Amino acid sequence: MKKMWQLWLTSILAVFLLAACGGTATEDKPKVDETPQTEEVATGEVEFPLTIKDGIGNEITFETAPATIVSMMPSNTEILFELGLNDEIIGVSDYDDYPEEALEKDKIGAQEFNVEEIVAMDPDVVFGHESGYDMGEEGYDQIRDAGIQVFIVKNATNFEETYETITTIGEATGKVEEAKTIVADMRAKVEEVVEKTENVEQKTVFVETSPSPEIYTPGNKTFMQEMLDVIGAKNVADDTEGWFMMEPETILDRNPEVIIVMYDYIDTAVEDVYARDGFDAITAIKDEQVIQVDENITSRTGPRLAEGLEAIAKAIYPEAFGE
Amino acid sequence: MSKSSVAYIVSAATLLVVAWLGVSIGSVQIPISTLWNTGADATATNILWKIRMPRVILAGLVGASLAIAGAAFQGLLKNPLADPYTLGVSSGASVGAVMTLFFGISIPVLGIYTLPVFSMVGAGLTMFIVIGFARLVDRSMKMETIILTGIIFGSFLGSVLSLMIALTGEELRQIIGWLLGSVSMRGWSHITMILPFVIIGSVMLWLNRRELNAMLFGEERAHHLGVNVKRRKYSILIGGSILTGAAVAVSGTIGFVGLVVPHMTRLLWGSDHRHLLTLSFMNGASLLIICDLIARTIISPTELPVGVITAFIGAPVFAFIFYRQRRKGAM
Repeated sequence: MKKMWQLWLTSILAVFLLAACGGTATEDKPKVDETPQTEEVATGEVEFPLTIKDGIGNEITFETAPATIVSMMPSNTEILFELGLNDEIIGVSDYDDYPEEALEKDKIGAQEFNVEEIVAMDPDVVFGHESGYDMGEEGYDQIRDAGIQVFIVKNATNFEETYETITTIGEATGKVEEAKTIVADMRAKVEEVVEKTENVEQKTVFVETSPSPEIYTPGNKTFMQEMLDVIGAKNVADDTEGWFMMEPETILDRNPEVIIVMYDYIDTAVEDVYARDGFDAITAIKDEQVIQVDENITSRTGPRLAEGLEAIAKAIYPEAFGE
Repeated sequence: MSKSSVAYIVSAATLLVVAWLGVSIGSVQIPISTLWNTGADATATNILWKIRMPRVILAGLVGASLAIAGAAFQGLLKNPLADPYTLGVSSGASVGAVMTLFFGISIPVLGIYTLPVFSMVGAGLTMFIVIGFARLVDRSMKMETIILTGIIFGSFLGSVLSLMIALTGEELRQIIGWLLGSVSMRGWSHITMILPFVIIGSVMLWLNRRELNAMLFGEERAHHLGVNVKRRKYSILIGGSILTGAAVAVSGTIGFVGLVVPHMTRLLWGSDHRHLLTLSFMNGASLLIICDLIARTIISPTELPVGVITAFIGAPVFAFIFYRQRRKGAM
């Protein structure tokens, strides 16, 4: 008991210390805008100034290509890095962990972002995201009031929209050619996966995004549904819309041939699925077809999404990939 | 036939019917012949025996534990609003359980009972602190004092939980769901894990049924009636904590069962603790089985946390009791 208390107290102390550190970090932020380097007025085919409609219908005018960028969403960050804006990015969200350089950038929070920190960074543009916009609208307003350009990236719900957002971000940052290359590469990869899975026998799949006892799964009108449709797999949860907590009896009854585990915060995620009471009647368990897939590459609507599709296709149809 | 035997028959019959419904109804239709037909479809057998059956039994055990603990707390504290949840005891049990998981505590002697034991210790400590503090504030221990104290400690412990979850990041993320209260996917192992404690706790309370009646007239009076008040009080508090701890260890915090059931039972069959405890035990089991049945079927194939259903029923009942008590004066 005594030991537990000690540990507990240390943890509380740690929280206070961390909070204190966060405070000091803010103070030396304004230095960032000391180097207002303007890029050439025209990059690629875009001419600055340039006005683009963002994901929530606001007309955003870019006088020049932004020299300093804050990204509020892992998918945005991945797109921006892929476009080669490594130096321009000065702030990213707490969840941003790809590419590795993102880990070295200053963090601005997540859904509850730190407005003060962002304002202190004084970037040329903040790339927000439509998916969290309603929650963070007041925060975004404060950023706008501070004279910072806010561009809300559309929440892509299928591949075409993902390509669009990449193209749009490319235009806004003057990286049109780079964006074209990314989209072309993605299309090629998706095409390759589609070809490989074209003639396979359709399998039924259950995707879970959180462990027992609250097993959540993506139903129809989700990006996962789109991916499964692309590779011709049948989502056993496609009769309900959006993400929902599926009742275990129903999972048994739907009897999927493959179970995809989309979380890795439990070390024994896959073993736990095999060990679930009663699940031994499910074909996927009997055939040992419970496969873990990296959630980040399948849920972030960025350049790695095509890889995500391939990972899912390999999980469901290993035979089509010669595995 | 006496009123009490009618009460027992009705409560037992209700429990049987409810348990039958719980086993036979689900989001998946299963022929009830699966129960005895050994050649039945494997999926149906698994759903029935490995998922639904343990779920119903566990809901019954948890509901029964919370209800009998609530009945005893209400009697002992002479407080109609007392229950494991409102007293903050459930939160204490959660902290005990989460700490066990947080620090990966596993005591070889206790084995699978480590989790419930720590949960019970958490429940017991909270119980004594809440009551001690309430007494310190107000020696007459008015209804509001105890409830307010319970709420204060409950929210403090809730923030301790949030802190622990925040500190571990993702590893404890699964616990957030567990805290909401659920009897889903627990399996037979959880039943063996809590069954001994449910029996011990319930027997402890049941042995005090006469003393609880005596204490309704005040501790002094009970003392004159020959009750060893101090010893009895401790044994009731410990019994209640054991039951709460056991329930929380397997199902998280499910609120209001301990409040609603004893009241309904009292309303229907009177407040004689000789019967109230046993009847609350049975009715608590029935209520939680029904609530869980609703939780897993109402928006099938989606499932609701059972705590949502109990709170939906319980909170208005709480308000109603409070209103009535205020209108009527003291209990």
